Amino acid sequence: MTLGDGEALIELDDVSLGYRDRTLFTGVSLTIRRGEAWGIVGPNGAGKSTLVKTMLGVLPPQAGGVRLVTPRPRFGYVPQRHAVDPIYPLRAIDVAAMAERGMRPLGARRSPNLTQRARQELERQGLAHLAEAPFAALSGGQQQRVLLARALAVDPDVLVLDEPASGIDVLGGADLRRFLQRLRAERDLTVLIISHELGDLADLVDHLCLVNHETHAFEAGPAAAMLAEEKLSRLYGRPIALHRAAGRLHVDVKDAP
Amino acid sequence: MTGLSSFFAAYEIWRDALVVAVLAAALLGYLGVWVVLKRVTWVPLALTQASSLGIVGALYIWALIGEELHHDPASVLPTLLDPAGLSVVFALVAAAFFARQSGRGSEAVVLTYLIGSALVLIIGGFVRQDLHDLESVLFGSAVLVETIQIVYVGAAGLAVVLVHALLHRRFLFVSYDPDAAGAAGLPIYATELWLYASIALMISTATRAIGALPAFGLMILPALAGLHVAKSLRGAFALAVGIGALAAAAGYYLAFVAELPAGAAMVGLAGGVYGVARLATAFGGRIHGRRGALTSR
Repeated sequence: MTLGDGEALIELDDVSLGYRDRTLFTGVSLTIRRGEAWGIVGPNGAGKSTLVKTMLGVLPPQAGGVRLVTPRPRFGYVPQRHAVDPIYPLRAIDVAAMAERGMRPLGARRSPNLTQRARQELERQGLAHLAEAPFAALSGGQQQRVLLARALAVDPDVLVLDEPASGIDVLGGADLRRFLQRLRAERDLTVLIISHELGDLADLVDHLCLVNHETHAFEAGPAAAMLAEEKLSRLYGRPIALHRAAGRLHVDVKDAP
Repeated sequence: MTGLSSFFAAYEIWRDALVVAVLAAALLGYLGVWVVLKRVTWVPLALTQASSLGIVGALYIWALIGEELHHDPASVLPTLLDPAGLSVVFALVAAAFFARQSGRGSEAVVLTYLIGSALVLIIGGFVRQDLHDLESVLFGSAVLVETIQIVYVGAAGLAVVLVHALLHRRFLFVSYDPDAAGAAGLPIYATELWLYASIALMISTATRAIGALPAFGLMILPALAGLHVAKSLRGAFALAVGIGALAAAAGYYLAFVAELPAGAAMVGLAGGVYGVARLATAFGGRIHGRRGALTSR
């Protein structure tokens, strides 16, 4: 499936993907172009993260080809907040600068400006005053924003967010949504978001992937076409009704027939 | 003569042993922080057993064909079958396996430990050597240390310092968030391999030099204590190195004056410091938002 006319950053060509001897999807073809925003949607354990890891080259495909544009695009990855272990005694600035530091060439000289971009990104997130605070002592929303600052500090071509709204309150979720909308308007940034929040996704993305490996469901296309009651009901195996109120999409999950 | 003056009077007896113990403890303490952070505390034990299997295997083969090898100056086998070298090779092979399993390898680690232990005992039974001598070769002795061990531990330590000076930032990124590191294009397995290999090299060398119990204890306990009280990662490393070195030196002194087993005295002191660190964090609240983090997963 090829959509849009920006430069193709990631191409999946007839890919089978999964872990070891467990195949989740076969025959997946998809092109992600510069400037597009994609949402990856599906039930828990549907294979969303596996799909994204395969797209990023973290997980090799079992068959078929994954092509990344040359030179390799820079990926900024925001994991689920609880995926990082609180055992590490790190300050917020240590976490925010981690990707920038980790990706520097081996043997590169120490630079006093090494954390400058990370500090700028923390400032953009309104967290400059917490830069020296222990990361583990921050609230869930603040931790999420530090991880977002880390991803943006590498000046990514593609920003990947895994369940960005999980564990943060309504205000935090709204702030995050507004920030991402502003970010997309400012930068020619490609965005991949794994999320259960269909209402949020509808405001943020222009394309959607609907995935559920248990039913071998894989559909991708423009968000307007994918956000259809019939498709979503089939994806989740329950009747789903969509309606708009105050300009936002609301999802109503009905009892199984 | 007081305990301290008699200790210093016997300088030539303990010099090499103390140098080796302090050097090994400092390096083990540093690496232990990585082991605890990655929540792979079983890995050093399994690496010790893999390393011991290499020693016993080499001794067994020497017992079978050693005499013939000695009479064949052209053969390279004597070099390949050196027990110390083979122990490091076995530990590195196990490390490569564990690095591949990273994050989900507890079963492989426990199996390596159990099967390694059983094979060491079985093959050890066929080696024509006094049991006490064999244990000494396998697990070292914190009291009687050959001068050459300073060279072995020093060389292993230098290799560890070089690798970590070069790759420290990558080790941190890959350990803390492997998915983000992989997405950034870092080679996850290769990075894990260097980290595990450095742990394997140090634990196998230290086990032969100072013994299995102190090598394992001085890797884990100072690191746990350091992580409990440190405000920063750099502080945790510094504390673990300091606590390890201090426990080794003070433990050796205590063993000398009170006629205690040296390895047990070192580990006992490191355990005491860990206990104080736990109490300090329990009553002082100095874990900076990480309350329970060391035990919660």
